[in-house]
Amino acid sequence: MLNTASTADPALAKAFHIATDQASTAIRKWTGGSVALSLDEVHEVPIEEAIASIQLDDEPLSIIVLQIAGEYSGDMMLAFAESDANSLVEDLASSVRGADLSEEWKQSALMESGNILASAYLNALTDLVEEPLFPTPPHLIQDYGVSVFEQLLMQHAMFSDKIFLTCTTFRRNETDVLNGNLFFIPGEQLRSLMVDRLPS
Amino acid sequence: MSTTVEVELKAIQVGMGELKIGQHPEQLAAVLGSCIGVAVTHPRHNVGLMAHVMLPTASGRDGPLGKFADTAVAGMLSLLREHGYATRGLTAKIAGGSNMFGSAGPMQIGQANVEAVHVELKKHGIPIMGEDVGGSAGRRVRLNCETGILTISRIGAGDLTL
Repeated sequence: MLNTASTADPALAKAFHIATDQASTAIRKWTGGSVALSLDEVHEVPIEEAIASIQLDDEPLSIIVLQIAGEYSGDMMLAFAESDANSLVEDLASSVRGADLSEEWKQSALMESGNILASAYLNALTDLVEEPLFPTPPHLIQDYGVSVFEQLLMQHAMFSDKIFLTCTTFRRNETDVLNGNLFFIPGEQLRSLMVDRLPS
Repeated sequence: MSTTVEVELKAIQVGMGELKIGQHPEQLAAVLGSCIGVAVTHPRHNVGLMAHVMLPTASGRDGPLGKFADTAVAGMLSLLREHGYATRGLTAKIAGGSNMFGSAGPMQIGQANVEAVHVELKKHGIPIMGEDVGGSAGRRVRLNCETGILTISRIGAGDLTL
């Protein structure tokens, strides 16, 4: 169930719902229908409480990081437990001729998944705010999820004491929860733009 | 005949911006990226403190004491005094300050944090006995409050002890 208890503006939650739906459609198509997304949390929290507010293992994870390129800033992070990253890659391999499941192929598949998902997500937001939003090339990291998320937070901590955060869960066949999450942190400028442009 | 009794250490997590004190058999733990884990111990008292520093300076901003380097070290000394400990003879070890996205990343906050923590510890006369900072990997750190040993784990590398 979507938790928007601390959301400043319900219109923002609705916008992120639309973006998640569009990203879900894209990732479902990319994985041959096996994987979808659901938006769980849209909230504003003090930066130092952000990690405690999300469910992120402090175990090693496969993480794809993308940012919004251009005038408006924002950070996106996809995090998968190793076994679920492998499972996602195997799903993709089954529908791609010539897939060899090498480490190089796996990394490439994960980064492309991030790129497809982020592009669809930002396309939806672009339509809503009528400003072009597109992602930087994906960056794949295998490390502690908390450490990587902390670095994303630091980019916002320089300028603000609070962040706006959306948390999305990956699901297989609509019901089974994968140990994978998508986090999106819009920068202050983008958030202001959304508040201005979205109908309340 | 002597027997050795192994005491299970109780881990206390130190989250972003937090500052905590622990006593044997407790250990203070944190997972770090660009933040700095500042571990301070008193060799005679089996007491340890850890701050999870996020930014170099408060510059008038509000926040928990452990959030900024310039409030964290002073905050640690105040906490020690509140618990009745002397603040002389303290030593420090630090870890963290990574740049997880490589040198081309958008912000090099990790290095600025390292430098600010160095300045603050020196200002308060606390020598740094060991450090593991920088690089591009995350770290999981644990401070044994009895021995003062700081254990640092990184993905794909063995544990490092300071």
